[in-house]
Amino acid sequence: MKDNYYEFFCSVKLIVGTRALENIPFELGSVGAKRPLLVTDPGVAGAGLVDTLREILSTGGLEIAASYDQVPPDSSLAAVREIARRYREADCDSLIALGGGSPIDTAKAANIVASYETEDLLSFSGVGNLPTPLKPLLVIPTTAGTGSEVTYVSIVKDEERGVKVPFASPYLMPHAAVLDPRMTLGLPAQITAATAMDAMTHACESFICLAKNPMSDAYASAAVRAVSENLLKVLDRPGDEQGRLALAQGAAMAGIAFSNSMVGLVHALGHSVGALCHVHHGTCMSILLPAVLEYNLAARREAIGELLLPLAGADVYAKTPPAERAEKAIAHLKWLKDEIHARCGLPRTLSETGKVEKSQLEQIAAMSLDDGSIIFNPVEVDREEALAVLQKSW
Amino acid sequence: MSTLRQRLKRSYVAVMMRIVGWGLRAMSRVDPVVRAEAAGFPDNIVIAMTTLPDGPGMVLQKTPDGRLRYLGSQLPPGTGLAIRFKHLDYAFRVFAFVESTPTAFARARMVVDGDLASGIRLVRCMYRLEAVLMPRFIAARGVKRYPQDLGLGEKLGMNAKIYGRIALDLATRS
Repeated sequence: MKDNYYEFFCSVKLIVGTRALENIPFELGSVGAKRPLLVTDPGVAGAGLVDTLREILSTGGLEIAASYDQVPPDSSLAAVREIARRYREADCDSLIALGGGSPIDTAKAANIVASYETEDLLSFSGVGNLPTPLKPLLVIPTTAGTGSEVTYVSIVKDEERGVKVPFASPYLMPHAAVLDPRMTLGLPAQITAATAMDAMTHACESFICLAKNPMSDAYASAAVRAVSENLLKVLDRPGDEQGRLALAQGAAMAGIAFSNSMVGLVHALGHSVGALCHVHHGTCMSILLPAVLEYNLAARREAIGELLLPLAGADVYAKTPPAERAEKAIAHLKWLKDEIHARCGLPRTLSETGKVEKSQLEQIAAMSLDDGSIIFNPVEVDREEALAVLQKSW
Repeated sequence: MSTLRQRLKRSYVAVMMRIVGWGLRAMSRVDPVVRAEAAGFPDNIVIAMTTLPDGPGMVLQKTPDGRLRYLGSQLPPGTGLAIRFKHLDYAFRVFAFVESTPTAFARARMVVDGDLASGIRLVRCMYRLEAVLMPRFIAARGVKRYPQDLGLGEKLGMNAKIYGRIALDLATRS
């Protein structure tokens, strides 16, 4: 490309590895925070992770000043307001998000309300509408997939209007993300697989879509390798701490990649499947990824072929003629889907989810055309083509 | 102090913004593709495209009867969708077909504020406008994929309808 141009940004400090949680008291202390509010969801609290965290922080001299453990799956404005109320009442000075995408996005939005001492969160929605930095936010992911711990976006459901409200600003980036293998050890096999395939999709799409750039390519490639090398191992041995950590790093790297180069048709279709049929996002990604890569093959043959190296390793890559690498990469992803299905039953097709009716495919295709991700797909997509991809994934 | 080159670029972008505004208004009446797309915008939404820091720009509104109304070049206080080019030169490159609209998006040449779904719909309307109004060799540089089913006969016929409609709109100031 003779006049290449891109932007790349990630300000999140990553604290990664064994006993990473023990660094939190020092980390918060270094930004002058002493009274954090903890945001999490009932599943994480029920799994005992909050107790583990409390004990570690307490030993380090840091007490959680207040907490909220009722974040719903798609987040909610009501939860954001309640968290902000508790933040004020307990005179907190920072937030810790513990969980998957919903608690993290909820904590980001609550940080807007808490930092600006406002009741009107919606006036800050959209892109670039936060005027000043927010209070310190520290994120501890308990799934390895969304990448929300390294992105500048928060999406919160407005229950009254039935819409999802986006917030996007560099100030929404957490101050630090703590990846500790203890936090993902108890993740059930199917959620482990679905979230890892979400990360895989972030990485693959950021590697082939229009805003790809050398920086995002590096992160995406490393993320594909991390997921490809470790997912099946972790499904076979759920207690594999290093494998879990590698998946968490893969998710973070994929998050950095896609927040700088965006995603494409897999996400456009997946968002619509999720909205209309309530299929888990990661499951949608896993199902749709190979068919979308096939659809984009003519426009992105070289890039898809390059994915074969991190996907299947150097031996397979070297033995495959360059002209066949793209097809081989897609075949490898299909093989991975089958292996995952054999281990934990993650659906391989839309019909296997049991939640999607074939009669809904046209509506899903139509809805996908208005999704913001679609503009970054390398190929212009019309309704019939989107429908064909869905039928191929049926 | 602006140079002659800057003033020319600014004038070019202003003229092209106006052509886009007039063109989309006319096409929402006579072109079935844009008519269908326009019907999908929320009723009464105000859609603005402008250049930071102070224009030029163009503003459209979706009317309840499914058409687009051209509101001029000045941004009203409240818009449902605002696409702002970060620099005059970025807008010039898009309207001079040096850089395609999707490439400009991918390179973060503009900021999109408001209803993102409407933004994607507006981009599809602009693809259609470029494909119909511009010669194929120029339009192909502005869109991801030139429509294969748009033959020369249909294109010329549609051009006549659109320019006729623009002339009528200007004459009647509707």
